[in-house]
Amino acid sequence: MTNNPTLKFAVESLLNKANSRGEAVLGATAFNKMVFLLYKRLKRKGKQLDLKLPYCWYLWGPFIAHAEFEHEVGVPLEYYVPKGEHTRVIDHVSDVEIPIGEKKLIEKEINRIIAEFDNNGIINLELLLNRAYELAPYEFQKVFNRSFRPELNKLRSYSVSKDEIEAYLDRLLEAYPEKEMEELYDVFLEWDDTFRLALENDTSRTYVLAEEFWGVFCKLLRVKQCYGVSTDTVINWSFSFIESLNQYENKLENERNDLLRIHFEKEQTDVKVQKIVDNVMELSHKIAIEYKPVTEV
Amino acid sequence: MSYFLDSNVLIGYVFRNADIWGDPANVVVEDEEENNSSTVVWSECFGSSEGGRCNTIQKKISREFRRAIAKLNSGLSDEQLLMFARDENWRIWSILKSIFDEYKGYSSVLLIKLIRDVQRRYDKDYIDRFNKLKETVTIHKRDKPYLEIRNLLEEFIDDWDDIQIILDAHYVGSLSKNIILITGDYNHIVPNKELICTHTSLLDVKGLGDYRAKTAI
Repeated sequence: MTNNPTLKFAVESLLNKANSRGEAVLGATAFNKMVFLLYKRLKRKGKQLDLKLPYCWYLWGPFIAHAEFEHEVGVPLEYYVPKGEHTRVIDHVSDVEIPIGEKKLIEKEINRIIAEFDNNGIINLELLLNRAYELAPYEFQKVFNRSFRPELNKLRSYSVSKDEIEAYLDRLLEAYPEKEMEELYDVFLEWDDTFRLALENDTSRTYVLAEEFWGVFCKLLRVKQCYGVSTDTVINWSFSFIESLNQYENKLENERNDLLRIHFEKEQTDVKVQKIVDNVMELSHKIAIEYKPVTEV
Repeated sequence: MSYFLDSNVLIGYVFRNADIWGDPANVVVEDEEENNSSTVVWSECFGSSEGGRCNTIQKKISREFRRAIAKLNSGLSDEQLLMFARDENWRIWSILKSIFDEYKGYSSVLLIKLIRDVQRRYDKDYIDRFNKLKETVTIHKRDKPYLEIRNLLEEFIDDWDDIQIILDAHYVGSLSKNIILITGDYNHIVPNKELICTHTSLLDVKGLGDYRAKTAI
């Protein structure tokens, strides 16, 4: 039973055309991004065809919501994208109940998309990801995923300087969607300082630090930026985020404490810094005893 | 001779370099006497697994410093940041004000570096002291209500929390002799030290101020 024959037609047409030589060339990531671009481009002004694609923003950009996709199309997403494999080759496209005008519109856009990203039978995934990320709701996602992460990989081969990575961290600080992702803001700032400590003291930790933060950020992102996803699924994702956040905060705190220890083994504290720290300690003490004031008689 | 430490000692130690209680608390915790406390006192300061008064304050202060860094990084001037901090009721407002007054004319890059160094040193000192307390203070969980002693204490102490602490100290005193309760409570506990010792197993009750003289020496 198909609730959304247009989406089913669009997905099957895409697979039919992209894997047209009878072999599956389209991977799962490329499939997700292409369906998303198709949905967005058909929806925009002038075309105004809504495929009602259920999706969220996740680790690698737009990601089709599985349960809702099956509800719409009547076929599990895993049928089209078997786990760990390339997409399925579709010989026969289901096209019942679709007005001919819509069919032509969809097929024309699919042809355009394939032409845009096909490079002699190989999909240009980087370009596809860039195009998808141009539509990301937050600038922060673009900087983190399309600039900061790739540059960080170069740190291991010393082809990027620490200063350059720090410049990206500054950009991330500016771009963080403070109001929209408020639940994670203080954790992000703690991560930022921990990452800088790692950059200064032990660069081998930077990759894992970035990946783990991105993981927890995206767990919140998919709750905030999802479309056509059922309330039950969103509630499950919210619980999953809270669980991940608790684990992550503990892990980050341990990592930070360890990096502070390494940092101060080699770093002497300036007198002027220590003077301010003494004042901060005094302030902290004052706040602590405000709960239960003590006066010596 | 062993100590039973009230919350003021733990707070004074973990936030030391702080007013009149910092150095005496340091003397008490770091001298050779055995340190004891109770789950009630410890939870009040550091929570059972997380939270607690001191951990919460330390985290809040560090967060405000990190937010200050983020604001400066996004282009706010020092005046704008101070206004923002005041609107948000930041605890560190006065610290930021004194930094900006003393380092007037510094670029935002230098101010960010200075604030970041302060925040890191503050966190590190706090963590070190907290870990030292975890290592050196034995925490006891009282399993007796001591109703008779409670009734006697209630005749001259009207603060329920203070009675809890005295009973906790008494419990530790009943396990190992020669326990001295050290407290910063000069309202109910220190003025009644003789009566408290009469009714409990405690050898003595001392105010943190008693250890200030040792510091001077």
